[in-house]
Amino acid sequence: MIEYLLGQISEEPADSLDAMLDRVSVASGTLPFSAPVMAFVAALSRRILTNSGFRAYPELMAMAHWFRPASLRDLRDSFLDIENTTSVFVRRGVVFHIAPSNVDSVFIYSWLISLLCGNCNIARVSRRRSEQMQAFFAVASDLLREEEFLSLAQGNLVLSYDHDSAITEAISARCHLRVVWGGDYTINQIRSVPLPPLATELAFANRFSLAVLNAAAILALEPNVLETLAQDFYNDAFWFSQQACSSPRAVVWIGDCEVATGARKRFWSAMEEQIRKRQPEDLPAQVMDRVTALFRLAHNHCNARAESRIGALPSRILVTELSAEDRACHSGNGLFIELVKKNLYDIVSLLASRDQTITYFGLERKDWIQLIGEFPPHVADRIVPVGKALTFGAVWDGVDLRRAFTREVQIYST
Amino acid sequence: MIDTLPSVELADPFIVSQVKKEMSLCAGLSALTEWHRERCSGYAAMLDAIYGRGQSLTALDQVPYLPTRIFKHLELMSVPRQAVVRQLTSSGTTGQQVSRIFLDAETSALQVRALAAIVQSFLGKQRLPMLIVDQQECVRGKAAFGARAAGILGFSNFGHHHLYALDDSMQPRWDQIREFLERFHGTPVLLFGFTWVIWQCFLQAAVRDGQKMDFGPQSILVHGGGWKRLADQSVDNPTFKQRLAEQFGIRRVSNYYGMVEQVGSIFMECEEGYFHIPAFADVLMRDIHSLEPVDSGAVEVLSLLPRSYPGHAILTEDLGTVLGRDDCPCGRKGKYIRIHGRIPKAEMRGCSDVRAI
Repeated sequence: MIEYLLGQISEEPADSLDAMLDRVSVASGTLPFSAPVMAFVAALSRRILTNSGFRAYPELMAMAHWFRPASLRDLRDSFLDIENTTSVFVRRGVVFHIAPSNVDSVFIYSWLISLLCGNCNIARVSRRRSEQMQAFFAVASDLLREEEFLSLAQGNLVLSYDHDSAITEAISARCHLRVVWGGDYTINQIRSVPLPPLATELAFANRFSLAVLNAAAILALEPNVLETLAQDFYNDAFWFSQQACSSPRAVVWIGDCEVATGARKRFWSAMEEQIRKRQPEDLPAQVMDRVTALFRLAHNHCNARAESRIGALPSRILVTELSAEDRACHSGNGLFIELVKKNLYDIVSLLASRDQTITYFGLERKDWIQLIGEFPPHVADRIVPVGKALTFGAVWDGVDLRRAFTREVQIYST
Repeated sequence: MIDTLPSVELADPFIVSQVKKEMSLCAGLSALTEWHRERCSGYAAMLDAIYGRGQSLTALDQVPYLPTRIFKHLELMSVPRQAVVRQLTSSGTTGQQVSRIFLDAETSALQVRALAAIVQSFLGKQRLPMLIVDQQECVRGKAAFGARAAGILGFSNFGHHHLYALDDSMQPRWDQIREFLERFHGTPVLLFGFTWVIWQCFLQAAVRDGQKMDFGPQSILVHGGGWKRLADQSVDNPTFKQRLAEQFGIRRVSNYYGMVEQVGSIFMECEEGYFHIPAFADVLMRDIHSLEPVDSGAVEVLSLLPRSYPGHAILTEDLGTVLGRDDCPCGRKGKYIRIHGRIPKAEMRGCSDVRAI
């Protein structure tokens, strides 16, 4: 069964998927960052920011803030600046977005940036939908029904369906770019569905993220600053049950052994306080996942040491190396792999090509600039302060989505 | 180095009081823990990291346990690979990883004897003509056994003139079944099968095919393997029993709770409808958040049988309640419990098919 969430025009019968897909493929697009698309995204952002009902959904508020008018202008200007005397950016055409099931809001970023780039869009979202996504679809579909945005409704369709390769094929056959936010398994599944020869694909694989904390700096923090740090780290790690690709799963402490021991004690007791206050969801199945992963991690090492009782939230295990198996068996839910290294330079040998986001505290940008040349290939797409792990950027996994969602046309003068 | 383990007392597994039983189990499980620590390096690594070294046990809840899913990810054995005579695998649904359990001759023999000791308390010493509600294909010449095959083989020892009730496409062989019934008319029959196989391929098939028969009041049906598929169709134990009585005239039905991770240590349902724990095993319920021992929570199973693999203390993902100790009206000593089913799956499983920002 297909469920239409956005862009179904009122008189369209629900059984005419082909007709609807055709309608999207022939709809007119625009130039990147044209006035109508900017107006739509700005209006959407405004409706969410000014509706007090959305305060219960911090992720949506963050998203709406990210797309507020001032930020849209920056997004446009920093992009169009790249255009030079010979190049002009134009839309790709029809973009097929496949959204992840765990972090549904990623779909919004993918869709809106593509819309801003002038494309027509077909998006498949998960059957399982949070309350906040329901609320989002209600606002967005009201807006698309307004006179001003009717032409946009023609070129956008958001739907949900159970795994059905016939539907994926029908959509793929009409797209110019397919964007898979799915993880390794979904990517492999989707790749078996052919694309038209001229179409391309953008796929975001499973990643692993870690935090690097300066032990001495944390030991020296005033209590109120420590609390702020714990709040920030809580947001990074617990907003999506530690299952976002950029949620830190390992924590590397930089400093002498003794200093690190003191800093860890201080930091984790502040974290436990946050968890007590904010009560993250912790279902029995999540407890069992965390327990199983803890035992698997212990098995991977000959000298690991659990630093918390079995099942505790957070659970922690202290190790000396970080392997591919460690990364693979971690499934979030509030489990932290801890390592202590004397110098920042020592983290180079820990990093591997799955690593995406490094969040840091007590270090500076220049420390990373000095080190980045030593990193193995495809390591670290983002190095950001603690608290910014989940902050979306138009550049993701090393890809500028604005460039990926457009084509660069060269026009030379005579 | 521990060279020998204390022998396991198997006879009369339901006459020992809980207090006496816990004392001997504690010593035995403590010795088993050291036995496996010395022989299975992966187990030792987990124990050292999570429980620390050299703690002496004074109560059963201190026995180090493994989470049940660990057997899906790791091959754990405490004997050289060439000593393994049989590998058991769990019945996991398609696409899922299955548990792998490695048995040597000693553990395997112990399981057979233990099962016999338990089952005798419910069926008596007499062997009965036996109808196996499954296909013979299930047990044919394989070194690796699934949970169904392990159950069938284990229970086959309590019957004679075995008849497999289903053909290779899981359809009932009604003619042979009727012939079997006529031949043993007036004698009690033992029926055995997996819960969902009995429901779907025997009961529902009988309704579909208009087959009604009478196995007689003394026949007994033993089934296990879990209620998940039946629960999905809202079929509970009383309904299951009632339908068996209506369709086949079977009045004695006993469910058992067991798992491939601890074959032999099964908990059978008594006449009062409760699962009973034999003397060489025990259960603890753990609070689903703190994992502290409580009366109702996640089921931890303890058993003295596993010697070739470190599975003597396992935290399962089932939920249960200890209803009492030593005082079940059926007269059996030890704990008696009820099982409520699986912990519901989390919305999200791992990171394998998800993508996040």
